[in-house]
Amino acid sequence: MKTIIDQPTLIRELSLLQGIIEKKSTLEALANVVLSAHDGGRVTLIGTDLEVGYKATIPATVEQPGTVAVDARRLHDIVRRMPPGNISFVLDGEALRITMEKIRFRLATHDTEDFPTLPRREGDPTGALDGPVMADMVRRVLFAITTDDPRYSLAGALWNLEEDALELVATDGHRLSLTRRPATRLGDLADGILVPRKALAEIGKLADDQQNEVRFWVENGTLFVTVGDRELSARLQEPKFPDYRKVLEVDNDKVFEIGTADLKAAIERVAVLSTEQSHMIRLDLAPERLVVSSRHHVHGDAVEELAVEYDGEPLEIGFNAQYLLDFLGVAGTEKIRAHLGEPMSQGLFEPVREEGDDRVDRYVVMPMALG
Amino acid sequence: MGAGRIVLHLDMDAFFAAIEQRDHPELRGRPVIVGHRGRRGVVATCSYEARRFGIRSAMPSVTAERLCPDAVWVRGRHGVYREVSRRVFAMLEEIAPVVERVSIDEAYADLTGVARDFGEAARLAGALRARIRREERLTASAGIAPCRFLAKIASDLDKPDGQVVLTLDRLEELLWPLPVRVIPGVGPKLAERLAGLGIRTVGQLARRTEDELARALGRRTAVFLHRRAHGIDERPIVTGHERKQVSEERTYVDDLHDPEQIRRELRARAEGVARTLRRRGLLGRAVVLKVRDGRYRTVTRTRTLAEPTDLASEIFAVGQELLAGRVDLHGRGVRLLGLGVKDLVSRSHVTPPLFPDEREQRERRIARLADELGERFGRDALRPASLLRPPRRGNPG
Repeated sequence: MKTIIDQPTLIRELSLLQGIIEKKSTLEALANVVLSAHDGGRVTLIGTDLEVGYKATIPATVEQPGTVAVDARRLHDIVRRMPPGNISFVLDGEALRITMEKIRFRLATHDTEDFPTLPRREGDPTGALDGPVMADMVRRVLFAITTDDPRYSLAGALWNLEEDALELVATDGHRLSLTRRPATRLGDLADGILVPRKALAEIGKLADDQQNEVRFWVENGTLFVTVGDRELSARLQEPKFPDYRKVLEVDNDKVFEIGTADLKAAIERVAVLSTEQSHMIRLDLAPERLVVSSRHHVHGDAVEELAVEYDGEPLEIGFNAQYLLDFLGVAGTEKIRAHLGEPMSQGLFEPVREEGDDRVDRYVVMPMALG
Repeated sequence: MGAGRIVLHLDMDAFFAAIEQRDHPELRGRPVIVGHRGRRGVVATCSYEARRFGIRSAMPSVTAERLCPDAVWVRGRHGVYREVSRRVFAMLEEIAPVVERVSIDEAYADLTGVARDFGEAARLAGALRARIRREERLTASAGIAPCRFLAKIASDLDKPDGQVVLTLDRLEELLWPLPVRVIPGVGPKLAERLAGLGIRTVGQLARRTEDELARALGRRTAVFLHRRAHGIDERPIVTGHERKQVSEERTYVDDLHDPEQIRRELRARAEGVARTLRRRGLLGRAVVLKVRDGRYRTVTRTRTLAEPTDLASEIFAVGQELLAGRVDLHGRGVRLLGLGVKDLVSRSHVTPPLFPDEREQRERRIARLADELGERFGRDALRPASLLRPPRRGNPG
């Protein structure tokens, strides 16, 4: 194998691969990336953790085709520390010679036979949507996926493909985030699919591409996502998702709009004196004002008053500050609208957009008992 | 910080002397002084009978002997007092997550979040005092108030064996007639200076402005006195230690071999642990199983839960799984069986579930009911059928 690859092109692919490859895999081969040089000026990179697979094709000068497997982390570290320019890769016995001007590395190669093959797709895409839109959707639900809950059914985001929209829903059992965006429906997704957290995070990264559309396939329990010359495959989980429609149907009568940045800043400030274990802040809603407060049983208390357009019944309600900040951080609009009801019934939050806007975002959170 | 707080002050009545009178019936009704007699001795505590002679804690023994020559002097049994103290405060900790012990016979507890209002706090305090009387045959007095200082004053208002709720609207009636010396921090010298200003009662103090007091006493003292006189005290209740684990274990005279019996024991431990968790308003994130076999080989196994729990069925189920899947008894019997939870979190610190599990909800409702009945009619008022022993044959009904 003999090929020359542009450093900036290669580093982007190797960085994306770092997110997928397991740092401490029990299978040694999974620490590797498989690098293949093909006739016609193409190099492919493949990595997997058996749950998520990634394959990228990049342009290169190929003088002699061939395939090698090398340690992914070390290759990434080497390429990352090279200046921009052409890097030459030559298989030399059992080592891969990596050179650029006066820099020379010899990186041990591994048997490509040990490397698992990635699943292949056959049919037509199931759906398609704009890359940055997909990246934004992922950002809006990713934080709500449980990181430490062994209940398998909650460790991913639900994808529902509707007539002309894709809907993503994620929950950790205490709060739920839903986002819906226009999408092209080309196939069918029956009851929806449950995409694992890690795969979703990687999809978000590769979707963040101005030039290319995101296309996806669902075949044999596997989700394939392509963005330009990049392809990700993810083994899907059994879609045992709670009946989330029910918690979205709230009939909360205490509705108000408030500046996103103001509320976020107030909660961040006041939360400094919330109790470490609960992160609880208290909202006191009354006509024309919202008081955000906290109390730490040792260190003191904090109060901040915000002006708000509201003339309904007063309400005192407690929330985990982080849960509210997560939503305010991704709302993306100047104002948000809150729909609150009873002190112990879920609150619904949504970005305030102009009428006719076809983007839908909903965030539902359970309150905490006020002490 | 004062708004909305509910503080309980629990004070054992004549603690050491009461224990002596309990354990030595011949001392009952007599003036009893616990302490060292002699020139250098002081009174540690004394019975209410002795107090009628004017004897007080920390008084030189010679003075006490002069006031009441017939008093019975008892050497303190501090090991016993400590043990009783530990048990009493454990009862307090069962109802309140934050307890601050200030001495062997006195503690503050933060009931904010435990009791909805002062009425409920008073009921909790009453039940606690009844339990102390029942289980230790000792009396305690309690004060319930929106802050430490008032709680402390309140526990003294109806002593012994009484309790008083002192809310801000009762200050004029209950606090203001008292001498200024009741305010902790007002010693003889400050009391004298206040007397010089014509201030002898807390009420007289309360009627002066902070500025007036500051001119005579300095700003710091003035602020302090003014706040206390109006029932303001923002000092928090601080727990010295936090409980890390709730568990129960039993050692058996005869090793257990019967799987059904082991299962039943495990279920009983789970019920006990869950009951303690609920009473203390705690949830556990991990279940810990401890097993010692007939050859004294002890193993502990832990499993972390998806969500923290206070339900017996869940603790039991995980305990069973751990026992079945991760403990090899090598055919030996069980000498000791322990079940518990760790990684505790206060229930009020957790956001409730968005998708409540119907079965869990039902179990929790039943468990709460059982807890209430248990408090009123004894622990066995209501318990799972699986824990009932089959009726003995030939025993109708």
